[in-house]
Amino acid sequence: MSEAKAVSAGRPETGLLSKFARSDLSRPTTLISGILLLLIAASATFAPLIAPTDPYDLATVSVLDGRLAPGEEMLDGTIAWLGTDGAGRDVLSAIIFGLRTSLTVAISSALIALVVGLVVGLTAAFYGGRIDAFLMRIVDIQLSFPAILVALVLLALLGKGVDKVIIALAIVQWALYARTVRAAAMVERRKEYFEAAICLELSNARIIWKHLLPNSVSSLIVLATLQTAHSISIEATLSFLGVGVPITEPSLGSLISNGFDYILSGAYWITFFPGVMLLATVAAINILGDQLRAVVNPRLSR
Amino acid sequence: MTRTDLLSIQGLRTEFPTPDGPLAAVNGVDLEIARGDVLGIVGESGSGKTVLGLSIMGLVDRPGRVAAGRIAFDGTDVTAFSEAQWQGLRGNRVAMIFQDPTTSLNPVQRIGTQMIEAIQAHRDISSGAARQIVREAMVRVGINSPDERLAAYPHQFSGGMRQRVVIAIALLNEPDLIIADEPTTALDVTVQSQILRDMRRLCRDSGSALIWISHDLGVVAQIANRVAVMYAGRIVEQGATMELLKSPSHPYTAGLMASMPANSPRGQRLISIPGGLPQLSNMPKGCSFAPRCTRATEACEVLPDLSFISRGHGVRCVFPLHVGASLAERN
Amino acid sequence: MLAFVLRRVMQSVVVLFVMSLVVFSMINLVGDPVDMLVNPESLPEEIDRVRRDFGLDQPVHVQYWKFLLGAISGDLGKSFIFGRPALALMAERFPATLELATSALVISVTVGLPLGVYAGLRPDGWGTRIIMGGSVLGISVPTFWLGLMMIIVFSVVLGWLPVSGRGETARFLGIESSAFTLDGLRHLVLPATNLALFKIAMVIRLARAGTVEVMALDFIRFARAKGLAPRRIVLAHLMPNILIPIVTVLGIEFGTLIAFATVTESIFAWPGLGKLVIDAIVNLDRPIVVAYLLFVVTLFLVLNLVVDIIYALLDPRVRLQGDET
Repeated sequence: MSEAKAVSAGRPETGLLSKFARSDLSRPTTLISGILLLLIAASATFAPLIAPTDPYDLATVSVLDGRLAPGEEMLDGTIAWLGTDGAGRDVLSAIIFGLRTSLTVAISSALIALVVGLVVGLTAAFYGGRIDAFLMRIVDIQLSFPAILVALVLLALLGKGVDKVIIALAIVQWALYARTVRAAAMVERRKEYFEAAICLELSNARIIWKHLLPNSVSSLIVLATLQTAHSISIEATLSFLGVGVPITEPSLGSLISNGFDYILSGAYWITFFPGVMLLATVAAINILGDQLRAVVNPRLSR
Repeated sequence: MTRTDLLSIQGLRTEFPTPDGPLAAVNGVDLEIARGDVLGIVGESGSGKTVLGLSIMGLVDRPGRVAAGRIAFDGTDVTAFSEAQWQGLRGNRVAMIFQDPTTSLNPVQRIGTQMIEAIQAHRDISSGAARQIVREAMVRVGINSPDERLAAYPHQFSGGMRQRVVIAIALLNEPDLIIADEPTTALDVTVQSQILRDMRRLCRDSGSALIWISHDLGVVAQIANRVAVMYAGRIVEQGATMELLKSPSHPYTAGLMASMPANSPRGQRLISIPGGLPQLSNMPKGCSFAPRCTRATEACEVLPDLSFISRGHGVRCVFPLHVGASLAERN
Repeated sequence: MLAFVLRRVMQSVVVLFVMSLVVFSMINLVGDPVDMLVNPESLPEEIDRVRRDFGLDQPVHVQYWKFLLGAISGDLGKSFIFGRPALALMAERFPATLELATSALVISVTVGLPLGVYAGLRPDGWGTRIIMGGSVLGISVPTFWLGLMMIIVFSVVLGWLPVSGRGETARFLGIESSAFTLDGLRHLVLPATNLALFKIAMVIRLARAGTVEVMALDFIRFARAKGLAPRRIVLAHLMPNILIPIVTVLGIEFGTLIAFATVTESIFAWPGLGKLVIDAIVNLDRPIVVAYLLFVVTLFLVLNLVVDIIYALLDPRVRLQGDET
């Protein structure tokens, strides 16, 4: 978390992508993470086509298939490679669909938070003075509380639902984006051409759009990557605690929570495999994010 | 090398690996120091004189290493020493003092603790007995009311006081050799000359040999009886202080002397040697001073051997200045 | 200095007030708690009676005013579920959470510090690669899932440790804690380790960065020149210098541990504040949620304030800067 905050002012001299391409992509961990992430994104997108069964079609799910161990055959002849849960749902299919929910929530909340943070951060940097001090004070206060706690309280107030979780996660994250954008924009503001632009009486919107925004882009991309991993994790935790997405639209977190009840009876696979998928997704994004950060700002890389 | 030599270095080469291959910060250095000797090593920053000092202490930071040569201390080759053997040597028989007194002491430990541990690392004595030795050492380097001072932290001391503490620590175990790496550079001039005087007296009293590393030929002239001039990792000239100062043979030594303020005519600009040290990664083929030397010819593209002008006065130059040559002859 | 402290205290009070206002108004926008309190088939008179009993029939601003007056005098309302004062319930549960968080802190330092120092001393070693890889993993793995895996391994498969709850407690030096009985310790190990995991990764990074930085300093080189053994250099010279920043950061992060305890307590059914509040959220037990929230806000404000004051005492130049941690 603190590292993500440390990403402040990084300006790529050339295009981010070309830099990334020239960087040490041959590192096996980076390569594996990239491939893994592509696979994950693809299976989430095409979940209905890929999943062996539809875990939410009540017509095909049978309680008689309940708690089959990995590799056993279900009544309709399909093999449950990762076993089935208490209600007879195929764990593998549930994971693929759960991934969909998890990624939807994480990406949408990241986008909303990014837009809000961008507006707030640029406003603070452009106007400076009291507006800046006031906005950044709010940011400071919010960031002094752990994200999981803020999200928990928000959901306690908002209630359950995919949309509610997205809103809560967006509220949790906007401050970090705002601080990052402001820091990057401030660097630009101090340069001379900025004063020149003001003197030329270019419109405010034009100055912000043409000068302050581009400088923030690279650090924003890095932050958004790492934050997506973070919010996948938070969402899973919230759903595990029973305050996240509803049971009708399970995410990886709710699948893990669902399997929690069967742990003592030895049916480990119901929690284990969704957790492995969660771990793989978050770790892959984190590794790529770290690599991205090393490209954007070599000074900060470990 | 004679049997009385305390320290004898032959062909020492200390390297630091880089992506483009190893760079030698110290390159083929030969040195001898007898007991009670005071040797000054002079050179610009980057000439390798500090690395030379660290090599003698076995303190070259990894990944740097002593790649070749022999360092014999009191007849024993130390280059193959294990870490435990080094520990027995360091601070006990050879001590080192570093340039910046403000950073040589641990800011969060009391002065007393830092002194007592230096004794107890080598001698099995009680803290009380160690404290007594420390007290005497403090008085010897001119720090009054030692008891009060021992309980203080470094930041409560002035720069000069801190360097005195460091010197006191170096002397605690009565080492045979002390290596002082520009210990007065960071201090103001009055304190500097005081410490210089004290240091000379202390070494004479304890019979320790001293290696005084400095970029300032003037300072070295005050304390050393022999001087070695280093340039780009090599010793280019060495000899007895008086002789070397009277008749510098290497053009670089002559240049150093000419650039000393005391040797410049009043009211004129200080003379300086044009150019700078060559990059270690881009060393000239032969004499490394050749690119800056007014006397250089094609003959200088071969590394000159050390040739002796007189007993104990050696120079590494194809066209050494004549013995007794004055500066005027150079122009 | 006094002016600085006063200004920060005033700011904190304002934040607390605004928070209470925000929480109270938002909580009134969602759901009617009366639905939770009574059987849906109850008679309207019955519902009205409950509504009156809990003061839910009055206008929102009156409710807030009463709440604020109560809060100042230490009354944060009664739990809808338990029918007891929220503050008393929290006070009952707090020691268990404090014990969990403290144990986690101790574990994270005792495990993280040596590993981080090792990694800093041997930057190219194999051990270091494993440690740093592990810490990336430690940050990536959602801790709740690791908690479940720990239950599977240590409780279900190996059967070494109990699955849930807090064990026997004993009193020692006036402190009631499960760390003083064997049963208590057996119950404490898994949850405390689980809570510590995230912090271990952090301590490793801090300790490693500190070690690399300090080992390059002159006084370490001088200590080596004195002929000290590596052990002595690490313990007497390196440690004291890296501990100061680590302890400071951990101090600030203690609040995070209390917050993260909600997750750990839910997994291991640890009877602390976190479990209380999660149950309250699920059951719409408003007074508990509000009380917990105000408690946490206060805790964070106090921790931040204390850290800011210590910093300002140490270095006047920090006084005007924002909190960049």
